[in-house]
Amino acid sequence: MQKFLSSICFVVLALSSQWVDAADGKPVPKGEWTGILEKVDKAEAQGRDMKARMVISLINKEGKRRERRAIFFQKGTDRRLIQFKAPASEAGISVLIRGTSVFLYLPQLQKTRRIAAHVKNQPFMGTDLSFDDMSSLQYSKENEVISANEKGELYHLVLKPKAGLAKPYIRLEMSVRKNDHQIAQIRFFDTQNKEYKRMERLGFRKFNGFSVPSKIQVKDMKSQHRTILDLQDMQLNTGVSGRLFSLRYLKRDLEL
Amino acid sequence: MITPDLRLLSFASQKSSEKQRTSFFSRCLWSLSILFLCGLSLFPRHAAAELKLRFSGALESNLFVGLKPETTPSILPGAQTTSNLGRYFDYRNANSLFLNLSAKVSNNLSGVARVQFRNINFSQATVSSDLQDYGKVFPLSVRLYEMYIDFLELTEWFDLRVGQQRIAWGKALAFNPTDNLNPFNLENPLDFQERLPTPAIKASFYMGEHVTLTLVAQPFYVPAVLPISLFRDVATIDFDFNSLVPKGFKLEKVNSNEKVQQIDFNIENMQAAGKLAFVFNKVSFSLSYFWGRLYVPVPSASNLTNTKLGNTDPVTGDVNVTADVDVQLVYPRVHVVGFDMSTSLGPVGVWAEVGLFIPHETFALNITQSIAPNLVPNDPVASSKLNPLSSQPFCPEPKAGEKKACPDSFPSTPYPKVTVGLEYTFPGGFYFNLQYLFGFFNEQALDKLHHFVFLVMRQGFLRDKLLLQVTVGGEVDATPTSGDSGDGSNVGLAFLVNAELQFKPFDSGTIVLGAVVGRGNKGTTLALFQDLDQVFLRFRLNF
Repeated sequence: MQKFLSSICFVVLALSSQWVDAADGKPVPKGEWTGILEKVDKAEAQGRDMKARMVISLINKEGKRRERRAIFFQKGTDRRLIQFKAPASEAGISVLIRGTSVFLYLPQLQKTRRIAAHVKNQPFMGTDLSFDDMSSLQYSKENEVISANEKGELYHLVLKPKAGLAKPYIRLEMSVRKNDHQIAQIRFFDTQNKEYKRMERLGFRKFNGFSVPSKIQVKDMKSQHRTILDLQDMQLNTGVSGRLFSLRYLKRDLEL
Repeated sequence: MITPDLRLLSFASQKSSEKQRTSFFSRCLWSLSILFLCGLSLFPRHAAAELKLRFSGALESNLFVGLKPETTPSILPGAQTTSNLGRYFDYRNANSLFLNLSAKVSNNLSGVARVQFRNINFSQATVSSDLQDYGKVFPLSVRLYEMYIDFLELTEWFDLRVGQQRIAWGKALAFNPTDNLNPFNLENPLDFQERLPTPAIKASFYMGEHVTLTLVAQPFYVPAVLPISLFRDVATIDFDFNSLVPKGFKLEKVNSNEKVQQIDFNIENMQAAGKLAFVFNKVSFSLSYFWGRLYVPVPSASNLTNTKLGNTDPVTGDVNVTADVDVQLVYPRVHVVGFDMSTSLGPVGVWAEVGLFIPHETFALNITQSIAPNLVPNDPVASSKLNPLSSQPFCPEPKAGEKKACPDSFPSTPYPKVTVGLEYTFPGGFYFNLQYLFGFFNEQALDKLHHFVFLVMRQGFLRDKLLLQVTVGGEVDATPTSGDSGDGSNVGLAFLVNAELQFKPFDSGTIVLGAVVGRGNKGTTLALFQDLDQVFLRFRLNF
């Protein structure tokens, strides 16, 4: 029994050591900071293209769960297309992200709308992610590293938005896996320096030589509401056509 | 499933002296038949794997309760209007089943059909024998909403959609001067966004990522569904009949009977449109052109009939006169040149939309009177003398410097309709959009266009499980006929407020509680809706 409890404590301590304050650990030379972030962006792109089924679970603090289903396409570092399939009230709603432009197709109105900047920081389809989170494919373009440490298997970067960019956060604390430069966790801090959101990437799997998280969990630290994105039937480098990421295809009934 | 022709097999059993030849021939046939049957067994499976059928839809129940008092105060002190136009809307229930069928044969070929089943709730049983008829006691309306086929990527840059469809153009919200391909469906008069899908062929040409050319042909014209009792003030002649009645007489009532122009089904009455949409420097633009007819009719001719003398007013001593008026309503042809754009200015979304309406045909008001009414029985001469309505032409040509006695109901001067707007969401989720309109959908002709401002405010609670939305509309009528007196001496004012509380207890289930209140001076457009003060409750399930 004692051995078992010791093992549990050891595991808990080992795991908790992953999420230590970024101030802990060995500092990373300043000249490497930008390079690490650029490698993170490259890892985010994961080869040429990706498509997957997405099950989005919305869980409140009481544990009550609602579900959305969507299909997801990505190409390169600047294009994403998400089309909702369930529930019925949201089926057919499609979001196209092309660089910094975001378009929303509403089947009830049969109209496509360009999402203005004021919406980008609003919750994406009722989840804990924002439109900005969904379109953030290149952190190095919008943020700069202000400090970096390494501890164990992780880099811990602290980012702030570049001058002139309006973001809801004043600071990001990003934990990056050293072996594949995949993001393990991001903590979002508001203007009062309080953590208001936390994103964790879990269930990393190897796919055609790429490391891909199969689950992304985002937690609203104020309301304790969680969103879990479960990527299923993932396919990488299948030659997703660039034409898919256009207003023409936004209105179509798409399939993987 | 195709059934093989078994006669081919029986043919193989013939006896003849040509047994050898027959034997070879029959072997060939057997071989072919077996191959054919094998092919058949594969084909249906292949076809079934390609075809994807999906059913979806919604169930909706609406309850409306009118709140209109007997008399409605104008917003100008001392003025009042009385109307019982709200009777139809005083209390009604609408229950609908929307059924959608989507058939996807391949990525290049698919079809969609949408049908609405709706109960009318007004029994049509008038005699006892009607009570045997379920359809008369509890009538049901079946409406084909959309039904179209998509031929996608006929070439790499060309898509085709054929059938009954909704073609929504314009960047503004709800009020789109360039959205002229589908008539209004104002069965619920306060739902300005609802349109009737109509038959059309739509060809879309994609020239790169940022440029799209759309061409549309509509084989025939479909008028709008209009609550005519509400729009009667608009549809009837804009003419003061009291001016026809000499001293000693007072026009007490004019009973209007509107006849609607029947648009023939021929090639001349086809409608067509084109739109070029492009994106430049993060701004979306569209240029469009529409050739067709207006969806809201205008009066073109009026014939007075059945003039009658009534009682004498004990106070004034005037003799009351009533008359019937037959009004001809027409749908004028127009060219509409459109432009719209949308972009962001900083964090704020902005848009602008303009439609320039160029009348192709004009209608000068023509008022006539039928033969002299029989005011004095069997004495047409005396009747004619007693006819209080002027024997002079009702619409004489004006002298130099004078205004026309009867204004054109649809003049030839082009007129613009404009919508500009902006929207913003504050941190915390409070959303608002503000739109300015010049010219409402029912207003035609430059001197009839009013100014409007609509503000929509929305705030979600409990992660948008609860949504509160308030729409406030204001109107300024600064036309030559504005004000309660109708002479332009006073500016007409009106407002409309629509508040809705939406509750989504479960995904795909919605409950909405709302209320609408409107008031306005005579002649304003929003005043047309003041008989629709109401509270409504809506339940909806999507599946």
